[in-house]
Amino acid sequence: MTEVENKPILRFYADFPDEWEGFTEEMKAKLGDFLERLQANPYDGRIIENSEKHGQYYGSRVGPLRVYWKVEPKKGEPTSLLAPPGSINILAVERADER
Amino acid sequence: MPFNLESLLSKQSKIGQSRSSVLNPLQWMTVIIVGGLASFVYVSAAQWLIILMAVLLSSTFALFAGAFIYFMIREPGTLRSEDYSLAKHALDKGLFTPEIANRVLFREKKIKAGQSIEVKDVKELKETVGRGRRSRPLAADAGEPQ
Repeated sequence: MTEVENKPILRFYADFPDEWEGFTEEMKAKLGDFLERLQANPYDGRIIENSEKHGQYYGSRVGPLRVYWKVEPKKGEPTSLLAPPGSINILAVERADER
Repeated sequence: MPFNLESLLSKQSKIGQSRSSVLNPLQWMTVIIVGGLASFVYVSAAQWLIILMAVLLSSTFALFAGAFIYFMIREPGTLRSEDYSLAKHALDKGLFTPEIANRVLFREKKIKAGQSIEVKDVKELKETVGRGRRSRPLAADAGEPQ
């Protein structure tokens, strides 16, 4: 099994591509770096420490953006930190100044 | 204003509990040494004691200045007060507003219904998102809460 196959799939909401087009290069770079770390390990201590958790949902500031996501376990696995993540649903990416 | 020991002790204990910055212990050390030096001069203590206190004061001040410059360059955040850090942390949190919560739940339903764009590797993000933009049905997000 390759490294990519081991990584959880990122699932974005359908409107994300339009929003992505509106992001600046800096936003795209920061978001890309963050998602890369998130995909490599959704329970990375640095990510969790800088995130706000609401039930199974997480929110975090990523440079000028706020990112919201949920980690879905693999089918048939319980929701737990020990369970291998099947996918990461990216549920919202907001500009931090839009409040 | 009459001298009030209880009030003074109360203030002292509060100072001890709330460290204003990483340099706070050095500031207090400087104050204590200045107090000691002034007392020794006032009571005309032995010359060597006064010189010792002056040397200690100079060393502490040099250390303070050095530490200030070091932290100013390396970690400016540590020079800010703890109250500021806590307030900033509190401001940074509170990410889940009711609007965001609605949007997140709505989009989760859509993703579960299969209306999502899948990216296997973040390195392919630009490419996959571009493809998703071209192929996305226009009504995919109809009814999304704003």
